Amino acid sequence: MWVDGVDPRGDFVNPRTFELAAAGAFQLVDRRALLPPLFTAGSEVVTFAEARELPELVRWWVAHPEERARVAAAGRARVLGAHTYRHRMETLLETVCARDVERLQARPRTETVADVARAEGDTSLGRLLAELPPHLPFTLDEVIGAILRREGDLTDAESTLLFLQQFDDMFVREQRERAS
Amino acid sequence: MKKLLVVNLTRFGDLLQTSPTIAGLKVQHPEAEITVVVDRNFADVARGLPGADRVWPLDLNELGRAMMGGAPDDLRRAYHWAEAQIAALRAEGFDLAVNYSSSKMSAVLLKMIGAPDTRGWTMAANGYRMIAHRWSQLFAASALTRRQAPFNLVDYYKRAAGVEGGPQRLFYQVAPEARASAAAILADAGVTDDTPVVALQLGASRAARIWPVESFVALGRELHARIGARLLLCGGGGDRPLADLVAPGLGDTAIDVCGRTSVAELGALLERSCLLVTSDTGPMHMAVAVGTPVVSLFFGPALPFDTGPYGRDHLCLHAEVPCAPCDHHITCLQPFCRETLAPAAVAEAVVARRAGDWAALAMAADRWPEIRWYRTGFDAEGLFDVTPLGLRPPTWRETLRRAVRAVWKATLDGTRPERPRATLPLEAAVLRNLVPLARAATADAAAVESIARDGGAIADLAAAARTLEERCLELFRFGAIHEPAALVLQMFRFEKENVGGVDVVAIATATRVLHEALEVQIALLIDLLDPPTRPETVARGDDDHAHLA
Repeated sequence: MWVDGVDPRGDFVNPRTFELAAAGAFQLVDRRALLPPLFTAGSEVVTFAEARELPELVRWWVAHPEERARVAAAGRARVLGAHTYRHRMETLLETVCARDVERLQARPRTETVADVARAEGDTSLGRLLAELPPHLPFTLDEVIGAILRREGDLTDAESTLLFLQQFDDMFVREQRERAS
Repeated sequence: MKKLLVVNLTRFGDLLQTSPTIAGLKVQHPEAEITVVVDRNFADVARGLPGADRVWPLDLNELGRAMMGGAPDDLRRAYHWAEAQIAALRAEGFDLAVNYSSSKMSAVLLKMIGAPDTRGWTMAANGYRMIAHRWSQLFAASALTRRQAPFNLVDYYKRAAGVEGGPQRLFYQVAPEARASAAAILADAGVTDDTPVVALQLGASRAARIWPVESFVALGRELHARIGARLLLCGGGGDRPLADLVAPGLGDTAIDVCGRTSVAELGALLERSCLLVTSDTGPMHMAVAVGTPVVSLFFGPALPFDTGPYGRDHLCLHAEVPCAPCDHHITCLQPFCRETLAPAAVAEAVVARRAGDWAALAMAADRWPEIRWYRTGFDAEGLFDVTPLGLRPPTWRETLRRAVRAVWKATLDGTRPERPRATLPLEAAVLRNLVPLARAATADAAAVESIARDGGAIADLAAAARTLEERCLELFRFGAIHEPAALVLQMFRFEKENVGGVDVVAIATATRVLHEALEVQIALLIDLLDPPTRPETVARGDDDHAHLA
């Protein structure tokens, strides 16, 4: 049931509210139940409960550009300080890790390209790996993906890995997948 | 040329089909050393091939085991193994390397071996696949448009290596100890010197290529009844379930060695048999190699034209159903083609072929209208060919295949084109629609060339190249829709893809030349399918009718 163009039971805050704030826009936002923990109404965004409040609000804020800019800047600072994808991802990983910490600790750590580059040292493989993104897991698919993103002619080391990948595709992959 | 390399990392049958090329290379280059790279499983077979001075086994099983775990250390070990193998091959400094494996893996390998003259699948410096040599390109093109299948695999192999003529047979060396062991197996089974032993190869690489067990049983019973044959049940370990179904049906007449022989013993047993009945399999090629006549059954995806028994006077029975050959990627829900090959027809073929009675075979061929009977042989230029038996007129597909074959013999070997026995005016009419399109494309290619030659602006060159590219898409679309144009345009596509280099003018010129050649090929194909003046054959009967009226 909508009252005068606004959902009185609205709770969820849409991504656009964050995106507009991050872009430095001044916003008039309908009042949402979940807004208060995210933004301080009045100083970071301005809220309204019914659409009929809007003409007056719009007139006032249009007439006061400095106040408007202050709210927009405060809103932007709030988003960059607390509401980016990085913040959400951290929360997500903390949650996952807190729940699965034992299982994750028991899992063998996949060696990265940097690990293998160190172990290989001055071999053709070591030299190639030293040029690839160090954090990549050292698997055939990841390494081939990185090689294909590079430009120019293939080196011998790259071609050797390509040979192994094609061999894997033809003879091994299916069996390995069946075995696991 | 001092050092030649032949790479074949495919299956057993394919390796045997490479044997005439190796032997032919040796005849043409007696001073050269020929190295053959094969999967280690087939190293012994390769060592017995005439002309193979050195066999270079690659232990792909070992590599597979190493990579099975997929752990970083496995991958590192595999890397260093491959690096060492490839470096050793490269260090040999081969003058010519011919690749008979159509895999990306082998393409990478050939590129890394780096012979100055490399043929077959290889890779450009930037990682793109290349198919070097026009016969290799035609082979790849015909694999994508199989209905026309103008040549046998062995002839593609020979021509790609530059072998002129060459042996008209396959090779396999039967080891003396295997011969002794085969003799013992047959003696144990009570076979005497005058017992006709007919070998039956039960299995095949895929279910779609396996003749039904009931048909094998019916065939075996009839052969025993008619010529007192003993039936040697052949196959690998994987074919055991088939033998377990066929053997009880044949009782004492069967000699069941399926899955119980080595490859060498199988060769010796086939050599001792009077004939082999098989679908399109590795043992079929082995029988040909040891000089045993073959009655081979072609159905499903198999065709006698491209993988038929490479030798003289073998018999191919082809289930002539409208959907043949089936595409390699489909699973047929109603494989009626294998039932089309009736056991009675096959028995007739075996009995008459054993007696060498070609007249009886020709008459038998007309009694089973759904089966096409072919006798294998070689044409005037020494290329493998099959001749239909019986009096039936050629099908339109046969006529088209003949015409396409003549076009490629003319194009690649300069052979004077031989007219098919029949004409196909409708197909020619379809192809005439391609003529203006091909002509426009040649004009587009000439425009690109002239801008490149005059050093025109890059933007103009790019625009002209785009126009040409779009025209080519129209050409390829035509080939995808109209079967008579399929192979010519697929080949054209591969030839264009393989125009390489960095010199823009040279690339533009090579492209224009290919376009002109395409026009000639289309014109020749039209001419062969629908000659401007009809040859005065087959018209007699109609003349008589005219007189009577």
